[in-house]
Amino acid sequence: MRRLVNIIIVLGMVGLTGHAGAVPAFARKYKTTCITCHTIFPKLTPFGEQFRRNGYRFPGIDSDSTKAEPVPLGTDEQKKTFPDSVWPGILSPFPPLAFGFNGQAIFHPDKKSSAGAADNHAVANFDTLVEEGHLWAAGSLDDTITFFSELTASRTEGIDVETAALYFNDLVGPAHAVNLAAGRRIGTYTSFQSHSSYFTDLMMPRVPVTGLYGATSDPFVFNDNHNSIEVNGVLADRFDYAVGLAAGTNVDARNSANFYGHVGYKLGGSTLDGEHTNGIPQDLAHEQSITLDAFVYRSISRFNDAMDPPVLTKDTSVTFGGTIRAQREELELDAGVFHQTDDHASSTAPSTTTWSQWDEVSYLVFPWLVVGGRVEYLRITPEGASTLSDLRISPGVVALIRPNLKLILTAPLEQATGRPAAGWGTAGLDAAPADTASNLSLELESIQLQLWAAF
Amino acid sequence: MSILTSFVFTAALVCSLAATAIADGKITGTVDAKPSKFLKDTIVYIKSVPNTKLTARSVELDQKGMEFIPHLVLIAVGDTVKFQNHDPVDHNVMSHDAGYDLGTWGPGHVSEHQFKAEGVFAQVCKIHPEMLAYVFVGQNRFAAIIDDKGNFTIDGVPDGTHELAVWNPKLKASSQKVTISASPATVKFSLSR
Repeated sequence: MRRLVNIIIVLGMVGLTGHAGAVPAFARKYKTTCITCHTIFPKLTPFGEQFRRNGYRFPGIDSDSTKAEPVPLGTDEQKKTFPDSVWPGILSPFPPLAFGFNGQAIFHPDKKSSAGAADNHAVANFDTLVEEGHLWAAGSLDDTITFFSELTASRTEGIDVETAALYFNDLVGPAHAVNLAAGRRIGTYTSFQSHSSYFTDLMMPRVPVTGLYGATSDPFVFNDNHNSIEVNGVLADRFDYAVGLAAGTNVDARNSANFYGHVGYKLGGSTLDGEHTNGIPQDLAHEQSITLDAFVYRSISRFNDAMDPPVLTKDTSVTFGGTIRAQREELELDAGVFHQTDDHASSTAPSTTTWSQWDEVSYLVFPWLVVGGRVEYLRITPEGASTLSDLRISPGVVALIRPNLKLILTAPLEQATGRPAAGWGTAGLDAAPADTASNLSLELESIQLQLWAAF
Repeated sequence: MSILTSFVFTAALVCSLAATAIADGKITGTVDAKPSKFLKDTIVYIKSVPNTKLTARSVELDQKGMEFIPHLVLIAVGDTVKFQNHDPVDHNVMSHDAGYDLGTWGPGHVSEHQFKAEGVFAQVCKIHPEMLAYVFVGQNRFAAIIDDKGNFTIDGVPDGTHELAVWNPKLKASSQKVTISASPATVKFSLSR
């Protein structure tokens, strides 16, 4: 009965489209199924979150848990003779690679909707049925140094190194207290993996303010993959933190000097790092917890505004926000908000103030089936002008056909009050009011069926 | 032969046989490990046997197929290890634990080292860092390498109570007291971090 009530609650809520994070290379290394770390990939279980947070390592000593025995690059005895010998490492016994692809079929029950109009009023669009291919490489160089990378080939956006980072773990102090992550990646702004939504790419929406104003075709977004150096860790099993410097987006040689910080705390449930669990199960079925976190991000973005001739523009942005995750066994609620100020959304625009708020609720009906949805609310107020907003409600269902194959069905509804100069599309939204001052009432944009596979 | 002489001879023979019987003591047992994959390379040994008198031996440790063969060598204090190279490439033998570097040599070369102290001494090849062997040097010869299932047997143990210990490159377990009697003593060790 409780399960039925939960389903009803969840179905009353809200989705978008997804990205990947499941890495079968780990399944090979530990000879374990995907669902050790994922519910429905890339969404992580409490244990999977611990594994990721520990720099892609099992609690305790990582090599104790590996079953595909690595090729030794030296022996531990060499450590005794360092610096007269090379510090030993390990090599995966097989290329630590994994592959995947994803895409979607889009249907427009209402061909006159904004999304239907964008698809030339077609009833169905299969252009993106296979949209992206992914190549992951992930593994260990020893018990403390790990790596994770993802190369994505997009049908429309070419090839991009989305992630390529080294993780130097347990640098000083107790295990997991001080780690260093260096490379291209999304920074740690919350206590959970960025790709932790069942229904969309990132749990925290991307809001490219300068892109919404058409100032640049390559707008800066803080929660994107950036070259960065980050120090992070878990203290006393339940408090996590991160501070980092990121390169951001530049058009000249000056460093953007972006920096950020995050703190989080988990109440109840299993620990953040998987240590000292004292027999507490680390699976979803036993998780009853609330995690609170906060972050701040300051960035400088330089870009050529789309003027003729182009105008070099400098936008200084300060963002702060926080999230909450409440888990009661198979039921989970995620909510978050951030406030962002930009002093130059374009070379001619005034400063802007942005609020982004999101909620996601999900219920794991069966180990292979999730029902739930998302609500995303975006509000931008240019100085001295009317506030613009967009509300997107996306109920959805996610099914794991096999541990490494899934389907997502979502039906996004959207409404808007006005629109920025370049429309809402840059933020991944569909609503397209006739002009910047027009409103759009709630409409069903599409029905999306996504396919994801990783192997 | 007088009666007295005969008596003394017989008494000596009986005592000798009795002593031989006592020295037939056997210790058997099993070792398990967590994680179990680290179970191999485990040695069970008696730490110290009083009044032990040893005759020095020589044992071979080959470098062949880019490996040390055998991986574990059991010897006692005063024994010598002959390091050989049966590979078509140069090898080196160095032990940080024992504090020596015997040098680098080509195929067919033999080098020796006498171990004068108890302990476990890792042997590496500086040229091929993946090569590793352990030389276990005991106070006595009552030591055994466990089999694939973790079983071991130590024969010929003298009468008395002994401290039985276990060595593993990665894991540890507490030593145990074992008393030798007519029936074999059975011991179980559980290795962990």
